[in-house]
Amino acid sequence: MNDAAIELQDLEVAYRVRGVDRRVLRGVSFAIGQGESYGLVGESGCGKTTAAFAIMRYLPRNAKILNGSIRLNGDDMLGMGGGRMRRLHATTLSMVYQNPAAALNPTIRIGPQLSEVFTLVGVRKEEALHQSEAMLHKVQISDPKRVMRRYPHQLSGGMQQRVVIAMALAKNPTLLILDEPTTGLDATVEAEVLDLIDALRQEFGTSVLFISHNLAVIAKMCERVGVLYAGRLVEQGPAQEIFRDPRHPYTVGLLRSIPRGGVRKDASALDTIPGFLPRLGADLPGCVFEPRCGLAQPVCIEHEPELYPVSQGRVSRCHFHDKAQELPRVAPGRLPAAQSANGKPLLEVANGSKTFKQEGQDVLALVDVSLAVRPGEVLGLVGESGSGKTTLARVLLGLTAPDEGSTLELDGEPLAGKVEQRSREQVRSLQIVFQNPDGALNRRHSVRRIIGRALDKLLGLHGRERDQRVNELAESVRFDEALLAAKPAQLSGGLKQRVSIARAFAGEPRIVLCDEPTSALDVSVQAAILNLLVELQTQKGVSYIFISHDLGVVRYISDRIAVMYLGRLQEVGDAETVFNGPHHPYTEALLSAVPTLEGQERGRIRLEGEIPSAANPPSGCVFHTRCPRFLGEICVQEEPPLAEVDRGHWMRCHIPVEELRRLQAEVPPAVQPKTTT
Amino acid sequence: MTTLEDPAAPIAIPIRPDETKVERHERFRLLLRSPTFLIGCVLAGIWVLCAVFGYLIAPKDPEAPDVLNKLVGPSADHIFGTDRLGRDVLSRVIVGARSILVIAPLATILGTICGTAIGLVTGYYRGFVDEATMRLVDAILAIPLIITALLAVVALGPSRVTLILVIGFVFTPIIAKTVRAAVLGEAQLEYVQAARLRNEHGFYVMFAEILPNVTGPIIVEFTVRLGYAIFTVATLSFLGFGADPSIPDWGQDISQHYQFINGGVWWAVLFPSLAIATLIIGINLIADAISQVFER
Repeated sequence: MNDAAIELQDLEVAYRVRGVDRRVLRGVSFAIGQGESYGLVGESGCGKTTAAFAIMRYLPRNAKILNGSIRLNGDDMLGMGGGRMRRLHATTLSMVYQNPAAALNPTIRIGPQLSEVFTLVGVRKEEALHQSEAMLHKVQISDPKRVMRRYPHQLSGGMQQRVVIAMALAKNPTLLILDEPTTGLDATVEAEVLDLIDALRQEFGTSVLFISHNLAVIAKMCERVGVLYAGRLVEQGPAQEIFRDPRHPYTVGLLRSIPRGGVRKDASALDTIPGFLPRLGADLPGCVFEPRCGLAQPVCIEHEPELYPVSQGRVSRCHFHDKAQELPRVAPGRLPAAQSANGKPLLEVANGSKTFKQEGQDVLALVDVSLAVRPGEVLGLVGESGSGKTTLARVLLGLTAPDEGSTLELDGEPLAGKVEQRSREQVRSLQIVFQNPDGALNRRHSVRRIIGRALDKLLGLHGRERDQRVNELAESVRFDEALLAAKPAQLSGGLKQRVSIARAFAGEPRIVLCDEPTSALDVSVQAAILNLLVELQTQKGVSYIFISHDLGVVRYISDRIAVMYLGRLQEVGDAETVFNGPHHPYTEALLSAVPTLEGQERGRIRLEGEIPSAANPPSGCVFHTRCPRFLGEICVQEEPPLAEVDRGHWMRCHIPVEELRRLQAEVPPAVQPKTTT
Repeated sequence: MTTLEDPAAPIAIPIRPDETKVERHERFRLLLRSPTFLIGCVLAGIWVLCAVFGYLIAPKDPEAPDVLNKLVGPSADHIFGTDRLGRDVLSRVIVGARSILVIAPLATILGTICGTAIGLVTGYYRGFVDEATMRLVDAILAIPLIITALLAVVALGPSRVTLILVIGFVFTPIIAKTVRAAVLGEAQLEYVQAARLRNEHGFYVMFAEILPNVTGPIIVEFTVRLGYAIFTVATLSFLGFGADPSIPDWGQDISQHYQFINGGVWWAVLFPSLAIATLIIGINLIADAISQVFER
């Protein structure tokens, strides 16, 4: 391919770890055409970022390129000296990282920082500032002059990422590498940034290498996609085709492990990929995926499959690519049915409010939240970051005491605001699985000690009895007993999260709060953890309060959903009611922000800007500043009540529900390109 | 480049028993490979040997005066020369290691224990106690360390125990600050909340949950403080507030001979000074290497 912007040929990269070279890229070849956008997917540790760094020549010092070539516009890059490489970085190559806060220099204002890109190639200073301003305008920052005077920390995450994208595109690069550019952002902000990248790419005609673990994002953004596994490109082809009709067992497994298309836990369990990624630099004579593949035959162990052509422009590295979709399921097709949730509320919070003092200002993190959790139900809690989900969880647990006037009740008995003042019975009834398994487990304690201590304190178990119970718990979360002596650092993310779950279940709780329990995990691991959570829930009849920003996951696991915005409940109802609508305008916006694998877009509603400050919330309906269905004066003046619009379906909106139903059935309002402040 | 993670690092490694041990000894192995650490150990090790075997390896009796051979320069008989009473300087330097190497580490240990306890309590409980303690600490730190020590020694009367107590006390606030900073970071982590969610006593949370996770900064601080402690002990005995005037002591020997330097008698001052310098350099090299390994 001569018109390729970038072409990797048989690239092999190794990291030297403890004196041994370990291969991370095992001969990767792909090419990105001029103006094409190419996606690279795969779970963490597959070599995606290494490939990007190899192109940028940013590999760490212990890395070595063993073999292969990288050609940029036909020029061999690996032979280039430092001077030419620096020129390339200044003019033709750009990269955007996951964390915009770390990519910007905190001590330099945005203006000078951005204009440096221009002065570097010889533009005069005033002219550079002028061009910077124009560039910020292009990334839809409405007041570039003001933003240019700011320091990076004075901008929100979404704005920072816009600035980074502006810097990356300012030199009009041939190739733009985006490494998980929206992973740290909220879905609503992500949607805006993705739209922006798409529009700019077409305007500038830039070739894009888009790296993400999120298949739906890749499906939305990329024309072609390559699937990377253990440093090997296992499948490649047009994005839509690959996601519709995958031809490699790994791709099949990945796609099956994502909850999507409105699948719910009672319909089917998520499929998972058994086993682990081979260790760094392991010797793999046969197919790299063979140890985890349900279709593996003896030939797969002996012979590494070549890239078989599947159809026009599509290849798959599988001997049995025509049968890939017959990959046997690992997880059972069906999970045991849950008991229907009924009876008296188990946990009730009434008028729950929480005000934090911050620099003399009152920050209203939680405002008048009234909510009940019934026995045996899963209550999903959704909303952007800053909407008060975690504060609500902490108040329920007693880690943060609520404001005076809030009442908490467990089984009709009053529940103290501080965990230290609750009875042992109450303490063990409410437990949590944290988001970050690294912080949740004491890294100096063994797994046995972590689980055992919870049994000791919550159930008063000692000695042999306790050891036996630890083993039982480990078994119930499918945690190998042989690993009980290990410290958390020796476990993978999924295993750590299993320990966290075992600890939460140690005291035989009645309600378990799950605070984004799978957001730090890869999709196949996420599927296994979700299956486990569903199984434990039905087995033990506990209730969950499930917090997540991933609406697919929430829809899969929840019986009821509560939507929060700026510390207030906006909508509460059965999961299917909330998802199928008519929904609150905010819920509608959240749903439309999420890219789907199916490709067809929901009504494209984009929220303007970011969530307002809780220290100074808007008047009337707090959502009116961003509402896509803004009515008029009444929304600014008066806060609507949380009213029951249908049986068990509550909503806080001035628009009558029938009107919402009619509006949302219509073609969605056209999105005008808007600029944000 | 510094903001980028080592791509080899974030890969979650499923357990492999064969590598478990390697992991555990990784820090120790890194230390042993560091030339800084090895040189530091050799320097400090020499003085530790002198402190332990003192009188056994000293070529002459360090306390025997020889009035006929006062202030004799280095010679074959007295390699480091003799002092104002005709005592062998080399022997006094060798034996003098003991007093400093007993007082300084004990004082540092005392300061570390007290400082760690205060740091844990203030960092974990925050609030009023924290505010009050930290203001007090700031006040103590505002007074020059040596003056605080001097006043205390004068008040309590010089002795080995006094020196240990006084130096331990003046180091406590410094170590408390370091430990508190580390505890503040740890207390944010969810495992501390998990402990609260099983009604764990504050004492357990501080000492069984948090303490094992802040040993890194504590060890680093300990070695750094040890260097300062040696310097402080030497200074105090130079000023005449040493443990015991009858025992050979580097600081005391320097103070008793620096008036002779003008007369060309450099050896009685230079060698004890070199002893102090090499010991502190040795300890500081070790501290450097340790902090690099723990904080990398």
